[in-house]
Amino acid sequence: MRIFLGGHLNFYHPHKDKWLEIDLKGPTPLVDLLNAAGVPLAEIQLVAINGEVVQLKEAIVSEGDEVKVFSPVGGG
Amino acid sequence: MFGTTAKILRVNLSNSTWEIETLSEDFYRQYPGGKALAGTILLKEMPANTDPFSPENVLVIANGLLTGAPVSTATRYTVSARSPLTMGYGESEAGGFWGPELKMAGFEAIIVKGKSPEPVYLWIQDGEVEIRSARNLWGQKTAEVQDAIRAELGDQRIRVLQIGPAGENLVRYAGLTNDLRHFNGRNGMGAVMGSKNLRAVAVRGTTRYQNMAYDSKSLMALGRTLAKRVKENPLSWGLQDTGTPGLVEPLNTAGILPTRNFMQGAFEGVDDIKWEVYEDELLTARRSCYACAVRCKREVQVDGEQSVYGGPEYESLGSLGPNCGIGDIHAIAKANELCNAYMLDSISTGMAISFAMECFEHGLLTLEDTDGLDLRFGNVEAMLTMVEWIALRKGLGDLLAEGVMRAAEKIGGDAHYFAIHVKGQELPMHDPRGKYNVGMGYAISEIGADHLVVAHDTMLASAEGIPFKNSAPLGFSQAQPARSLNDEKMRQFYILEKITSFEKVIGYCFFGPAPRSFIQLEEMVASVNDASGWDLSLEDVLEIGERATNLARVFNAREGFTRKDDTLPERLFGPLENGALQGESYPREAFESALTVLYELKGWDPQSGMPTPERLETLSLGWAIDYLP
Repeated sequence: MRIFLGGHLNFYHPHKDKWLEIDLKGPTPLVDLLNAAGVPLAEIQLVAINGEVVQLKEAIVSEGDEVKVFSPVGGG
Repeated sequence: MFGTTAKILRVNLSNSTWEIETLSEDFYRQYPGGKALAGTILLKEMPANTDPFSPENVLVIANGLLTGAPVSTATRYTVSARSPLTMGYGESEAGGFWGPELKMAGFEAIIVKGKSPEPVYLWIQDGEVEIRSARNLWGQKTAEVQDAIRAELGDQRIRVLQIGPAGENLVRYAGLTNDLRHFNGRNGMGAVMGSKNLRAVAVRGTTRYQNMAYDSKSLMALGRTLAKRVKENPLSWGLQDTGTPGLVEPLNTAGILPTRNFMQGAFEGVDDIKWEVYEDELLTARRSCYACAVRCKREVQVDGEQSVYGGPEYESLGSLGPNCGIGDIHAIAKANELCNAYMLDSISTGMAISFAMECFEHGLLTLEDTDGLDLRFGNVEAMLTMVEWIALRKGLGDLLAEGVMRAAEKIGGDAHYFAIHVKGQELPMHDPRGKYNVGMGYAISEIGADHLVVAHDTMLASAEGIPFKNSAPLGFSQAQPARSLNDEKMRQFYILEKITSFEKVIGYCFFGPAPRSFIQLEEMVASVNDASGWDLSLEDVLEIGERATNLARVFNAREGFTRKDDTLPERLFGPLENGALQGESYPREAFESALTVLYELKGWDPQSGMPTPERLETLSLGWAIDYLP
């Protein structure tokens, strides 16, 4: 499956890609996936799974989910 | 004096004369450019109740001390006058190359008074000044005028700051552009310039900033450090990667992407206008402002051809897109190009069109009013047509060129409810129902609704986030939620506003200094001291920012603005119709309480909203007390 790294979060992707490829083995807490990928949880402000905004700490990801995480975004 | 040319060019267009004034260091330390210099001049040199379109209005174009320094994001200049949109203190900043070029040509600022009997432009080259005819330029789009001026003067390196046909036609939200891709968009400064029959200011200079700075070696070392950091800091790197268009999707997900004239916070067509689509369909290159390593500007193709204008920023994507119910990225890019060619503020233009669309859907405007245009939300052709009609004041465009506040008064009925503005200026593309300090900034800003008053709430909502860590020198006790207006939040607002105001004085971009971005506060202060040879502290710097804000506030007080003008459109105190914050409102009572707290922090009278004489004295602005009503 893939996780979308929105805002500046793709800074932490090894190739600065917007999409993080994950080899998922059953339903998994999102925080575990992000920790494993080296994406700092402190810089995540917004999580959406299948278009619904959810709390990062409570998010469980399953195969087929559309998962997007965003850093804080300001104006300009 | 170091870091500055200390020269102001004063032009009187009524009799085609000009003279050069030299600033004293004592004065310049108090008002080191931009917003501070402009506010001082407007107060002292313009009588109260001056008609914005009269020769007596004073147009100030002012660099900051650091504008043109070899430091990323120090590129900006201010354009200021009494605003024809708000009738208050008017101001708009832009980056690009023109401000640095003006400094290299020998001037910090230009003060324009009077009105030329016929169209003219200014030509400034290394201290030499000429007022030239612009009769053959009048009525032409901005790209044509830039080409014509460069050809006439025989130098393709000339930097051209100009208005467009919208400014000539006195559209109340006409702006200025330099290099066709950097914009002093807001507050109708282009209309003021048009009212003076001044089409452009062309500049060329050769004196480098390094030869003006006190400690050029140290300043250049800092510049190199910051340039290297851009790619190593997530905040600046993000700006380079996507630029502001990257905001579309996260703001939509958060439920605060203004949609259909702020009725909604999420747009069903967002997948067609998000960054990945922009990158695939429009993007051709990334560009920068002068000496800036961030490179947040976009070059695009429009209708399959390379555009000579810059690509749409987030604000244009939002205002001409979802705000009008439109999800066609090519149509939005075309509308943005039209705004730049005619030189309209894309925010106010989109908001005027969305206002008209809502009026049309409610029967307040009819097919007769629109000359047969089906002006419903989502109609791409109607939106594109209205952009041109506004610029040319054709048909319904003539009414919308007045701004939504005046248009609503003329339409009558419930139209005022659909006019989404503060002090007459249309709202930018951030719904404050998800960012309360942004709403406070809209309400309290002297120029009307402005999204660049404080770092946005969301950036500082996490104690572990980079921006909050960046704020350590400011002494914030703890991070505050985005949807809160408590006392600590107001204290943070008070301090953050001083930083943004200082940026507008000194020439830094909103995307430069901390806590919003990658230049640490001590580095910001060091850059000023390296340039000037002064020994300013962070506290001194914050006071300069506060002083500039108070000048604008005194100007507005003199024009009759009071606390009642520091408010938000009624719609925002009601619920969002959809999205992640569906049903949520901006809290009216908490807002009023917080406003009182903020006034007290600022030393402003809680009833009137005016600066107290005591606070003005504290800020070394005792002279300004005489201008209070």
